[in-house]
Amino acid sequence: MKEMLELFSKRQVPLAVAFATGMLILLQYFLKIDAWALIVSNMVNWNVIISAFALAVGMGNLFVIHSKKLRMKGKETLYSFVLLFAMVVWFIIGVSQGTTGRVYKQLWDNMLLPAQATMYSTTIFFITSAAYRAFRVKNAQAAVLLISALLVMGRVGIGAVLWPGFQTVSSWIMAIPNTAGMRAVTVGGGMALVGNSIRIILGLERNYLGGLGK
Amino acid sequence: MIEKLADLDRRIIYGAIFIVVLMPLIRPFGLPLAITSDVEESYKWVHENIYEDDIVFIDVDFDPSSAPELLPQYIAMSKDFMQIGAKIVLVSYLPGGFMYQKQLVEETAPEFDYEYGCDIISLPFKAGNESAYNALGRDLKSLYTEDYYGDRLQGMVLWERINSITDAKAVICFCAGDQAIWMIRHVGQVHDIPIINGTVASSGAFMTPFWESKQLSGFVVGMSGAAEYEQLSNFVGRAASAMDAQSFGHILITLFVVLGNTGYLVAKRRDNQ
Repeated sequence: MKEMLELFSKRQVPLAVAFATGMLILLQYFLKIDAWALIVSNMVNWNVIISAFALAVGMGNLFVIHSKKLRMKGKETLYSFVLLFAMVVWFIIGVSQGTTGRVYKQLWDNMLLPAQATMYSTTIFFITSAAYRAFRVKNAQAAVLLISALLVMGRVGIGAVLWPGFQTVSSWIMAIPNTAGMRAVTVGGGMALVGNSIRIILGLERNYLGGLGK
Repeated sequence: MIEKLADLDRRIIYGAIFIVVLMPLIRPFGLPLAITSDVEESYKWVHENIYEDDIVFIDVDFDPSSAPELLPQYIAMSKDFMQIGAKIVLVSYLPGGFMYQKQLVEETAPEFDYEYGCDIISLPFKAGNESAYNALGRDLKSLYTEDYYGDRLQGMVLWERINSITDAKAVICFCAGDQAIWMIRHVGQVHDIPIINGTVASSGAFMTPFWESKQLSGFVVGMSGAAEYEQLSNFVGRAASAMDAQSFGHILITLFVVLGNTGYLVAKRRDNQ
């Protein structure tokens, strides 16, 4: 009896909450009732607040995982140490001074900003190397890909000054074939999202319950 | 000999791109820049639809990784709005955006004699991704009660003029991901508010359908978009000088592709014989 009650509270209650919440928000888009809209607005605001707590949970999770790695003294110990050290220092400075503080700004300008910008900018080397190796005219499709890439790349900077036709042709590529392909992807993804949402609301999709969903 | 062009050592490629990109960054050549129709139309839309005292929301959804492309766009367009005299509300739904809000408020706004609270307000980061955009569209006033600096919003001149997001004449979303789509979905389409998107070059292809369908009123892509906007609005910024490096980089990539294909085709012909 106790096991059944536990299973009920762990499985049926979350399913009922998901159904009620989903229907409440979904129907609000079709029924314009002010009181209903107010309830949904409050629920959306709760979600924003809960998401902020999720950041703290994520931080806690990182702390636990990397503390464990630090104790095990494996190959990645140094990385875990750097991560934990940086996280703790940033956290202490952020909490004590706020994000408007001088030290926080200096850390941002002199550590995070150059580090992230460096990570991003190194892609130029891989892109150049990949373009050199991948864009080979091995067949008709590869030739189309190569020509399209060169035309779109020529659209900006000096390319369009040297030959204004770059802009005309690349605008057509972006507006017609690219848009057609992207719309197919977006609409397909949207349909899948609608289907999955309906499955969650109806309790057919239960992965979010973990092992209890089966 | 020519066949070897098909298999160049990657160190040669890395070295060449390093030198070619670095040189114009150290000493810009000032290469001419053509204005694309997208940026020209975006600039025109801003100047035909945004007037003095209009309220615009600027969504600062980027962090240092995408700042090289988005920061120049953000600064150039914000300066343009300040030149017009529009009132600016800064929001951010990505941790990392707040530093760029701070930069605009504390460094750029004083250049135009913008007074904090009257002409510009910086709102704090909100978590929740798409939910936060939904909340922005539904009930802005209960989503925010304090500004980024922790001061009460109630009583601030600009905040008192705002009741909901519908008071915004336009929303400008600077982002590298899906944020502009969420803004279109929860703010643009629901409340019929014009959305302008400034995005990185790699997201340009993904966002183009929204620009083509006129769900976006403005569309500025990548470093080149920023440089073109700077040129149109006559603000000297960092994008225009960085465009020389991009142009040379493009020329070098094209050169390597041509060399690679020459080597490949020669080798293929020899094998066939």
